[in-house]
Amino acid sequence: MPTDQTMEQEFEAVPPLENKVSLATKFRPKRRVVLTAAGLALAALVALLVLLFLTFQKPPETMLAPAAPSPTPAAPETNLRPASPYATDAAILKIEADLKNLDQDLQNTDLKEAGLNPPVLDMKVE
Amino acid sequence: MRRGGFILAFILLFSSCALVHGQNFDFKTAQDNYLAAYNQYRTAHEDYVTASQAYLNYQTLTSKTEAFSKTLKMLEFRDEVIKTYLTTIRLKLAETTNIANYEQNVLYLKLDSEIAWYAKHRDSLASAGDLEDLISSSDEAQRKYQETEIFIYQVLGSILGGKETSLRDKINQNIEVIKTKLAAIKQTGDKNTTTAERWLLEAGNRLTRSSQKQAAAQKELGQMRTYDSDKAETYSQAQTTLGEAHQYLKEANSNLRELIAEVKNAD
Repeated sequence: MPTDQTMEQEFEAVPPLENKVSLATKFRPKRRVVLTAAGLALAALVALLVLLFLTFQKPPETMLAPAAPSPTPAAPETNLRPASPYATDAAILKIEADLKNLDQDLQNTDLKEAGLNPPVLDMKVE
Repeated sequence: MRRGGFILAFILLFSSCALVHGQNFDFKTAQDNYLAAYNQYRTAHEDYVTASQAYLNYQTLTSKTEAFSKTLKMLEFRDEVIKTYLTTIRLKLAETTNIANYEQNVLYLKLDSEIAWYAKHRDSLASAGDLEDLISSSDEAQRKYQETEIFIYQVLGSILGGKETSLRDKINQNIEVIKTKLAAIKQTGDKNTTTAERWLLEAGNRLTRSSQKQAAAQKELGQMRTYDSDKAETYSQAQTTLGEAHQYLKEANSNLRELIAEVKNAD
């Protein structure tokens, strides 16, 4: 019968059992556990090494941030020029001190005088 | 007998001098008086609102009497607040230097007149017979205060302007001293003063700009009218303009400091 023939052909196409065994089945369970653990340990070691490498690659200034910004050098360009005979002149030094004091006055002047603002009053009585 | 009268007159004169001296009525004292009056006014105003509401709700004779007394008290304190406030700014004006004499005298006269008006108005309140009289008196004060407000802002503008003028005068004095010194340096010929003179010119220009801005601020205050709804806003704008004038003063002083740095360095 044609049906029997077909079935025979299908059974013939099935590969032998020993050819279908995977790699996993080749190792015993105990050995498999050991291999997995070793793999995980190796991965952790590699991750640790990468982390350490990245940490030491960072520039030192980002690792040790200063508590306060370092002061900018106060020496302007003019100070690089040699001093004139008037650098120590008493009159010039006095004017300089006066200007400095006046600068303070200008900074501290209160141009709002909020304490002098007129009172808020209810002028409409009904 | 004559000697006794002389001694008595001397004692009276001495005691009156001591009293005036002991009071030491300055800006700080005036401000404390004003703040105390303002606190009393606020309490009185709260009482007035409560009593007024009670009268509107119940319309009883008792509530009407209570409303009358609380309104009277509130109005008296309101006049007192304005009076003490005007006294405070009068003393502040006296402390402020560099306000032109004629301007200061005009402001004093006007302030005294305003203070007298509110004192008289406060005293007249007690003669009110009923609530309607009080309301009428209050309306009178309200109309007056619209004018007073303008005057107050003019006084404040003068006080702030006086501060600016004082600072500008100081810078001008420094400019004069520097000019003399630069002339002396130029004469000796051991230092080129071209750059320093340029800084001097810049400082002078900034001073001119500052004066112009201050004049603009005064003009803004001068344009205030009684019917203006928000006089405080106009005053605030004038303050901003005065702030710009102040900025120019800062720049002028900064230019002079640059000038000194230039003089201290060799060519």
